[in-house]
Amino acid sequence: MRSAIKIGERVYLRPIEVADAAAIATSSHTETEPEFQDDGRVPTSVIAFEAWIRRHGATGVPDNIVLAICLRHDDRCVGTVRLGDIDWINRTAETGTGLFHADDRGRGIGTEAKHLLLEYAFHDLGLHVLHSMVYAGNTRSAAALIKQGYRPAGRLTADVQRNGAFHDTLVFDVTREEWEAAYANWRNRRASSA
Amino acid sequence: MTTADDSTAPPVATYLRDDRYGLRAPVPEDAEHAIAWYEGAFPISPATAGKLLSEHETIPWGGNPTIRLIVVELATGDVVGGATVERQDNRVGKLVVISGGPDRSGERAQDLRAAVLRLLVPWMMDELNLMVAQIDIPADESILIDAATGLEMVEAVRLRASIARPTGRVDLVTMELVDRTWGTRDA
Repeated sequence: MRSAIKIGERVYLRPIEVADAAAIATSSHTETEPEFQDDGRVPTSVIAFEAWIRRHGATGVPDNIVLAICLRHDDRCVGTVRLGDIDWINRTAETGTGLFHADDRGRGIGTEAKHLLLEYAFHDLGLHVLHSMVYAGNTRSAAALIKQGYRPAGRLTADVQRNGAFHDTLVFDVTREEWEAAYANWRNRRASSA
Repeated sequence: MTTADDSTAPPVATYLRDDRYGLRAPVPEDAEHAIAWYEGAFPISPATAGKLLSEHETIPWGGNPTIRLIVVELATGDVVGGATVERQDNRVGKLVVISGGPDRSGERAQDLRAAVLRLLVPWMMDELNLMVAQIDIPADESILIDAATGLEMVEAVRLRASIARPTGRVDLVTMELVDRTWGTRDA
């Protein structure tokens, strides 16, 4: 493990590095599951992601923190988690998770990484409440958020245009107490199934 | 400070004014009044504000995806606020209205922002031809919520306890107006 900022059972989180640019850029145009193509299919540039990663973390007080999700057993970077639109006065932020390959989904890796992100957000940064947004067709991500303690907060009408139709964006929010309860449940389930 | 009788003062748009306030595009001199229009939580210097304006105002003919407007009090010519309309896909417009200074959410500030909201939402829908207009409003800003409701905006999202006030935390409400005939109307 290198530069770990949070460590879980199977994954750890570290700051993104320029070397991650190719994996991030490639993931968007090799995506095989339509519900995870949040921004449509766009060939993305490794050069642009390298520049974005160099800019990331360049300022003292960030409004956006992206962390790499890495597997403990081989250090492979399999995705990212992020805190976006961080409001340091109201102590809020938007969360997001992305796993690069469909094969890595449905194995609990994303959930474990998300719990590590929420631990970082609530316990280390002292944020008060977080929210997350999901394309309404992405039922798996919506269900995952509920398991992580989030509650439905509403929907933005026709927020996404895809395949000639408009789709809503679902919005969820979670307080520290709600996440802590969900995290305890998740750990108990992991312990009892071990 | 710009004054009402200054013939060199940039005019407000005739279609974006009521009896008290008018909106116009930024001019370099607005850098001196950033406390009134800048949306950030922390103050910026005139030099920083000037750089921000010059770097933002680079796309003419209203083509900038984010339109920045300055709110002027018509009687005095004073810069008293600002607004941004962030266009996503030229379809969804996210509106931010600022009344800067020592009180950003009191009754006077809400009155100003409500007036600007009444000017901007019809313009966004009818002239920018957007499908959705959205604005985030703290749940305790009842004057602004009433203004949005009067424009037929409805609550779409409520993020719990997302705004810190001296007296406790309040919800943040996203209100939206949706033109469900968008894209299907005849010219």
